[in-house]
Amino acid sequence: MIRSKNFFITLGVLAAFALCSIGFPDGIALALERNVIKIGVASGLKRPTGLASLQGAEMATKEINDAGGVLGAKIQLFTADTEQTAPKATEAIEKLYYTDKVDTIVGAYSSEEATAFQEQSAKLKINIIFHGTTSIMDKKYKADPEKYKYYWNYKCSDLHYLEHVMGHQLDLFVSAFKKQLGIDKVNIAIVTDVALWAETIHVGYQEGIKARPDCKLVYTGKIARDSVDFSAELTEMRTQGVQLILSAMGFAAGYNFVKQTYDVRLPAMISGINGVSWSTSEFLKAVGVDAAAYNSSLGQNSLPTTPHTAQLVKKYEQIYGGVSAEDVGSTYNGVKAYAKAVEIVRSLDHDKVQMALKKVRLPEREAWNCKEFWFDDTHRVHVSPVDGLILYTFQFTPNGDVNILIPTEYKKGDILIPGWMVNHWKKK
Amino acid sequence: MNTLVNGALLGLAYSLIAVGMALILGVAKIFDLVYASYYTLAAYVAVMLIRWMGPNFPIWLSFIIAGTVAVAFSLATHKFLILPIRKQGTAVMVLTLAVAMVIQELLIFKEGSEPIYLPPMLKGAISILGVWVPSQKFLVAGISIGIMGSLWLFLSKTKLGLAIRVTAEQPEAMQLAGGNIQRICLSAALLGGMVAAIGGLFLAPIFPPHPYAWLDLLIIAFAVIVLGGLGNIWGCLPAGLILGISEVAVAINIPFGGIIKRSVGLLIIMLVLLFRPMGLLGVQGWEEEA
Repeated sequence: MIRSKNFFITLGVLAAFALCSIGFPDGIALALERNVIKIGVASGLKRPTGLASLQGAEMATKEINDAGGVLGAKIQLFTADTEQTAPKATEAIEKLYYTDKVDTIVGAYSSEEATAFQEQSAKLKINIIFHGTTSIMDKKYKADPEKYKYYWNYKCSDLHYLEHVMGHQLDLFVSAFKKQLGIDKVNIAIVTDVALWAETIHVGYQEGIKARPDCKLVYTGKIARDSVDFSAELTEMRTQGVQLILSAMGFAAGYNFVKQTYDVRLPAMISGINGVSWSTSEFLKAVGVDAAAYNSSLGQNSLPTTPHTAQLVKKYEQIYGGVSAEDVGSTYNGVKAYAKAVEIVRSLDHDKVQMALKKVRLPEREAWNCKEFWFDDTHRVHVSPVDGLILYTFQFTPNGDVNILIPTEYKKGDILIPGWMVNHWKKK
Repeated sequence: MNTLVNGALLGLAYSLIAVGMALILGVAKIFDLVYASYYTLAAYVAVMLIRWMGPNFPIWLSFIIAGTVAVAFSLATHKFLILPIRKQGTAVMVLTLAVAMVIQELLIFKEGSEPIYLPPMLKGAISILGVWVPSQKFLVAGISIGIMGSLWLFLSKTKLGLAIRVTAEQPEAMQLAGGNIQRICLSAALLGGMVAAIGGLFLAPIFPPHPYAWLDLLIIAFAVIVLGGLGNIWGCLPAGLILGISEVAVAINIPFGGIIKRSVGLLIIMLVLLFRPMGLLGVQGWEEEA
């Protein structure tokens, strides 16, 4: 009897050792060193983009906590307002790090904030999962990967955007113009604002257009982010016979630009990257349906392009009573990615989580607008319509619907050039 | 032609922004930094009313209510905050700056910090000399000229207008004649508030207001007033035109002019104040206390 008791005790100890060495199966995971995971949300909280990023983090947090948390630990969110400026972003990080003592930081929005965040991640050695469209950040990472290893970017870079516009979107428009207007060459204008990412795109647009025999660059211009009056610039574009405006604008100026282009009935469509930062409903409300139908935007994360995203958008509408903005998806993915990394290493240690974030793979059912979410070699989200973050091009129709043009997998229709515009150019 | 037409229309809009402030500055000799907030407040109230009451609510009624709110706010600010410390110029500037910032924060709290959009009263565009501009801009230009004309008639043909002019030009004479300076200053605040409210309501479809817009508007108003002559209401018209045409010329003729065009106003303020502190068309001693 005693023998058999010792046998079972020995067997139990051996089994415990075996479990420790191979890891616990889901459901009986080892608890973390704390029962709360603190996540900071740093964003321009007084702006729609900032609120959207907070809401995305809230949605992911609720899902995770409702499912039992991360290894039993519940996520708790803390906030700090960056006011969308680099100095305030630095203060926000310090507040979250020193006062709230958060384990990681997510948020959005501008490249200026992002570059400040990248520096802070290096200084404080805390994982920051944030935006940052400017490819300058990638260059910095490549130059010193050890220093910037704690910074993770869930937004694609300006070079991804550029590739999408010049490699796919422009073809679509140029083909439509050539076919519907019966022309061989399309007159192009390039108009961008002065954000860091837009600067790269401006140069890329110019080089790309000059290399195309079916396009003629007839106007280039840059605008301030808060510009409101473009009448003179639009008159110049009319004089130059502009038919397609390639834009890269992320702020309210982009909305004003779209609106005024329509107000003066410039017979030119606007493509490129514009007005994607707010939700589609905000964009429609700001510029009006007729003006919006002028503009074909490149977007990411705000439209339901995958079945799972459609469910998330519906869920968002039920919670917040509106259409989700782009930044909802970013922080949603950020929180989910962090939680997964913690699960992998069963620790909140910044270095261990940093190593684990490289291994995170979120399938579509766990991410927003991604086929699969992971960080590539530059710590930036992998972008691809096949197996990564999906970029798409959409156009508003005159009745306010959204017509997805790219990727073709989700295509709903063809580019619509307004009839009056077609007539104008055919008369010429 | 593009520079002239678009510049002139922009300039008339700038004159409209500045003229109310010039009036207050000319009469009360104070820098009312809340002035641009009357402008944004009118537009915000109109947008909120339209939102609350639904799309069938008459826009003209929302304008009247919004204008009244902005004018009442202007009067209250002057009566209870500015006039008691009117003779302490620095205190007035600090106080009005604080009020403007409080309004900014309240608007952000209530409406967020993105621009708001009022529908234009005149839709579409008009071609003038081959230059297409939004019809609303012509409406604003007409209103700007109309307000200038009305102000001229009021100031030159009415007793109160005469009193305001005398207070602006010879405050001691008005005091000796037993005129109630405070009441005249309030009249100027009332007129200034009205002009700001009208400007805010009609310019909003072109220059969508946002909580931070007051600073931009203030810079435009200062540039026009400094150029036109501190305390000189009539200088606003040519000054606005010069500023508008200069901005457009910079925007379309200088590489990346679209980015730096807004610095034109600041540059004008700096240069004029450096070489002619009373403004281009101003007169010496304009700041003599009322």
